[in-house]
Amino acid sequence: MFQVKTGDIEQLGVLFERYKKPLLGFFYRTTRNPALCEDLVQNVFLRLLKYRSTFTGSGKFTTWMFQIAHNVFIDNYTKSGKTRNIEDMDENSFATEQELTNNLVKEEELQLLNEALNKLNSEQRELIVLSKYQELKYKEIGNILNCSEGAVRVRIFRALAELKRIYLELEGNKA
Amino acid sequence: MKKRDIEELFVDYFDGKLNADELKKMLAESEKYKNQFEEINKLKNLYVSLDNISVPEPGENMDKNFYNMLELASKASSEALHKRSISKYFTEKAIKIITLPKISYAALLLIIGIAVGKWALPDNNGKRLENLSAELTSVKEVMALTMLQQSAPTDRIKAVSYVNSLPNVDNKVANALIETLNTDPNINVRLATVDALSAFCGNPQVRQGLIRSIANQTSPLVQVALADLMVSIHEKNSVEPLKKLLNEEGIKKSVKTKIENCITRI
Repeated sequence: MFQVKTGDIEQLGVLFERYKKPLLGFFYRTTRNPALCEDLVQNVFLRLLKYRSTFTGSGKFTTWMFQIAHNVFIDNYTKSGKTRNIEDMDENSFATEQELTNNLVKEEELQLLNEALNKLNSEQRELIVLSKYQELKYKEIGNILNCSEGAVRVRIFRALAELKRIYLELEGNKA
Repeated sequence: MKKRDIEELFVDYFDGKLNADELKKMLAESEKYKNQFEEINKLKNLYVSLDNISVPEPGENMDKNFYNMLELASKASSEALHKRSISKYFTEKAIKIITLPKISYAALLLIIGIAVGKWALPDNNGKRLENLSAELTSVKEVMALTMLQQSAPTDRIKAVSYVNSLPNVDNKVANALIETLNTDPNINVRLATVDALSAFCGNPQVRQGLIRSIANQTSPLVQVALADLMVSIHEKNSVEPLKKLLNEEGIKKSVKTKIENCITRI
């Protein structure tokens, strides 16, 4: 990133190849909108380029990058008014009834978990995604979300408790 | 133990940093969570299960859109740098001139006056302009050839952009550009080179070089750019090399479709 900052813009390509999949995963799991994810990844790299002069290197590059990704996510959430509800999801996002019947129970549980994750509010979902999938330390997540490490830990626990509540509710509805 | 403290520590259990015995000991000390081991364990299982949620692979357009954006940004940055360099050069020159002593100003004015007088003579005007133009072209060619050897891709893209401003290219420059197209490791430099060479397709050497280059390209973006160029110049000799590209292992379906389309239009 320092090379990009000092004018070697081509090096942004190296960062793109390294982080495009983690960023895509972050946006897919937080927005639940496959069509939107790639645009949001592009937005992150546009901002990395635009604000390259502000990168100081005092913290990890990934923390700075996910700070930008978080801002892109929030901007998108603010623009759209809400994240997609499960009713808006493409019917091909989940297995068909036939597939569910034939598959192992575990696949059905996974689908329920996916649905439950979608029903979480965006803040809780983002917290779980940042801690679970992006391998960020709690202190780094605290820097991104502008809160203490202790607060991050408590919020993750409560987000998981809420996720479990929704999951059980969905399981009860399907039974 | 306060409620907040124990909730901060649960994530350590989810992350595997606390074992079950340590968790049970912690819970025993908590009023609220005393008998909640099974519930906390279920949360851990849920946390672990999240690993099984997959993410779709990126589509073909994501890479293409990013590299198009990067190319534009790189060109804009090169142009801005070039303008700043020229501006800096003339600013420094102006400062030097302003600080000359007065007698030097007088001498300079005298010399300029004589030069303008000679220049204004009608019988030599056309020839002088022609010579100046030729010299300028030669300087640009030398600059382009020098900068094509630079290690920074932005310098090599700048070199290619100098070529764009030439009325035509001699064999030396044409060969250097074809060599760049075939061997430069940077995709944006190669794309800029295709663009630069497109202006000189009237030159048979350039045309032949472009046709032969088709077989050397592995980047889908450059393959497509060359195919498009062959269509625009109606170069029938490019059909065979393009057909050979279609049989290459690993060629993307979208690129294959595009090249097939180009072949029918040549």
